[in-house]
Amino acid sequence: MQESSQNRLREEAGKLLSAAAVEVVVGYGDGHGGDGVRPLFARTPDEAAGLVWNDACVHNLATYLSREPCRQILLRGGKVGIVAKGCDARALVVLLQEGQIARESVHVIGMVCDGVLDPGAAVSGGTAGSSGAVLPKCRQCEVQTPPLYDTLVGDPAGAAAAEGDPLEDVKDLQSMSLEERWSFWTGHLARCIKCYACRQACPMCYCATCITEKSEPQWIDKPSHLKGALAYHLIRAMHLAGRCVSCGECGRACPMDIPVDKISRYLAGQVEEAFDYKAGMDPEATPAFRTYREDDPEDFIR
Amino acid sequence: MVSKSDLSSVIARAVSAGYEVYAPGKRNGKVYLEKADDGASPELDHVITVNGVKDILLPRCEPLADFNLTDVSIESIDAPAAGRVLLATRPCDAASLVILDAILLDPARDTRYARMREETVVVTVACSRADAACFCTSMGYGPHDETGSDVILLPAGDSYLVRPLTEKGKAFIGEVGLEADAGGEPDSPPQLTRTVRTEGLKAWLDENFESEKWRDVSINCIGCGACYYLCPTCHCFDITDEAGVARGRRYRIWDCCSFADFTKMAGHQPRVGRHARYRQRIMHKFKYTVDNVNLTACVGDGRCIRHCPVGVDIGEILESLPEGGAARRGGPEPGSREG
Amino acid sequence: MASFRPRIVAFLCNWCSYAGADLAGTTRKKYRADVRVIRVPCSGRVDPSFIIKAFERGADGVIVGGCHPGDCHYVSGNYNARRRFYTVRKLLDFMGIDSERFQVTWCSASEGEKWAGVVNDVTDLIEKLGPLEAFKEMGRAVLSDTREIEGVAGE
Repeated sequence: MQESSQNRLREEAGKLLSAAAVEVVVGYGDGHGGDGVRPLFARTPDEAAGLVWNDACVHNLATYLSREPCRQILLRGGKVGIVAKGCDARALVVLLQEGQIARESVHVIGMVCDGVLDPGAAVSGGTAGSSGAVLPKCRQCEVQTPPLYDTLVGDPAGAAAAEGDPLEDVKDLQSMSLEERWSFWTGHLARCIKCYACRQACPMCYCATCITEKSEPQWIDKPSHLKGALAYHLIRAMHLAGRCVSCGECGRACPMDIPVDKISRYLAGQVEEAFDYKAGMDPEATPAFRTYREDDPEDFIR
Repeated sequence: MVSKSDLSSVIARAVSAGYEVYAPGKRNGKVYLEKADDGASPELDHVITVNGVKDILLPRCEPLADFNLTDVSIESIDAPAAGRVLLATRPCDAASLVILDAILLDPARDTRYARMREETVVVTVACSRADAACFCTSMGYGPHDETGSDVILLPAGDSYLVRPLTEKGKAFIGEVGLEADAGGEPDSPPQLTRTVRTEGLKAWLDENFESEKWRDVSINCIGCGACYYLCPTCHCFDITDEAGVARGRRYRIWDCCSFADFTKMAGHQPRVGRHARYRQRIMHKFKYTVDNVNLTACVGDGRCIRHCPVGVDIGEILESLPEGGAARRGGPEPGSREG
Repeated sequence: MASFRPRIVAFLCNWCSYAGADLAGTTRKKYRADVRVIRVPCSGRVDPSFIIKAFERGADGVIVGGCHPGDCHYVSGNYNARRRFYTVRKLLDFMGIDSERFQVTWCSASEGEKWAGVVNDVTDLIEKLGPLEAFKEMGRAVLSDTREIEGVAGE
């Protein structure tokens, strides 16, 4: 099933590039030495033949739209093709909502997806759903068919989403005591080296000048001591509230294995519960923090 | 000889001799180089620690001085004078110190690094295995290489042969009750699966600052600092103040040429764009440091490859640069302007 | 125990809560004196980083005061603030910081008595919670001058 999707993907990408409908297709390709997958920028039909699709295709490629070369292409009115799973397409929707991309500048090759494996897992012939070892975010996935696409690859009636609770790990944290949570987070954040891999991997972190780079005033301490790390992660979490699509890339990118994705996935869940809003599902929807309802929760207000 | 299980008593003896000991420890399934207490048992069954010895000698965040604008005073905070032992480092990490020494000690002497370096004993445990990212042999080192070590412990079954290499090393093993092994057969060094060909690289770098290939090789890069911060030879830093109105503390912190505000000046950023900043990484390591101190600033530890979230592979890139013909992953982006 | 005087920072919107606090003063209300007020144009102006900075710099509690829903001088600033601060409290709690240290109040310009009550209640609450040691420890570890976080008078 995945192999025929891979062939179809290569065909579609090849067609787009031959017709010069897009200048580049951002997709997945083999990792170095055939080990795993990594992003691939295909500029010619020949290169499109190197695109792959399998359950190791974890990366959220939407982050590349605000980085070179895609950023330059889009700025001068060119068009970019992008391979997107459901979670990635949600990020594209947010970028659309926030005016970062024009709909007509992006050709989305949407991939029907039944889950991706932890990056450590080998590329397998079978489907991720069958192995049961998918990333937590894939459980009960509501966007197996991406919410945004120009071309759809794969059978929407295909394998069901993995079972389980996508927020299981987050709920485990919630069931700890306040002190235990503080201990958990300070224990992890002590290792933060402020490399900003989490920020750079995130499609929503596209600010030309990040708040961490502002020095007058210095809102967020630059050093990687606990105070500086905590301030950074707290503020990033708030900047992502109502925008995070729970792709989990931030946690995967962290070289120090700090599960930062838990923070934003938790807040995304809270936003959904309180404001009935899930980021990236509908380009016409108003983002949660750009609107309000008369009956928004205010029990906490004196 | 010293058995693997006896290393914990070596740590204990070093601690009671007044040393700060840093050794590999396991945390959440990964192995980090961290401060080892009296009872600690070092992790030994790993390829390499996530962080390197740079963490200890060029700390991520180092207080320099306290200043007071009201009474116009500055109080220096000296680098810690305590002796320290870097225990069970890998040969590549030990070698990285030789490169850092060449840059940070001469001609301009980084007094803090110098002070800590003088008081540091490097006790290396040679490698029993390598993984797909290791390429130390291609950089002129190897799994049993002695560069930069004061003592090397060579694996021999469940024990190590103890080989002091410097006066400092000899003195240290005496202090912790170990004896040098003149003879003995160590296990064979592991075979690396990866080689990185570097013929023609320097010559290409000398001539191709403006090449469009830089855009191609850096195309996957998302611009984080992971590879720079984990790299044992990257050493750039920033100075920042944690201050109130009149008093504060000045810190030296890690910085990296990947960030958009590195070398940003009033009204001008000389390195605009991802490709220019990735080019700086390669040029600094494989050309500028060679030109300046006759050393390549890379030890082949492979951390950059292991931890890059988007598959940027320095070995692959180094080999592809001098290759003729169009760049491997698509043509250049002609005439684009960076913002 | 008696020696702990909470330090609470209050961001009060100019039009309602700040005026209300003013009224508490002009009508000579007696209430606890451990809240430091910072005037902002609107509760919606208060960025989460202000709250975090306040904790970093020694505050044991933070209050934001705004207009009642529907009365915002800028029409909807307080509505935005309401959603934002709901989320800030959730975030603080998730990270292991007691969200009760961050309080929000709707207090109009005529509610001087209410403001006095809020100050008294929140001060009591923070007193019971104790000093925010976690943040103070982080600050002590890295600052040369800890007078602000320890609450010692400055120069």
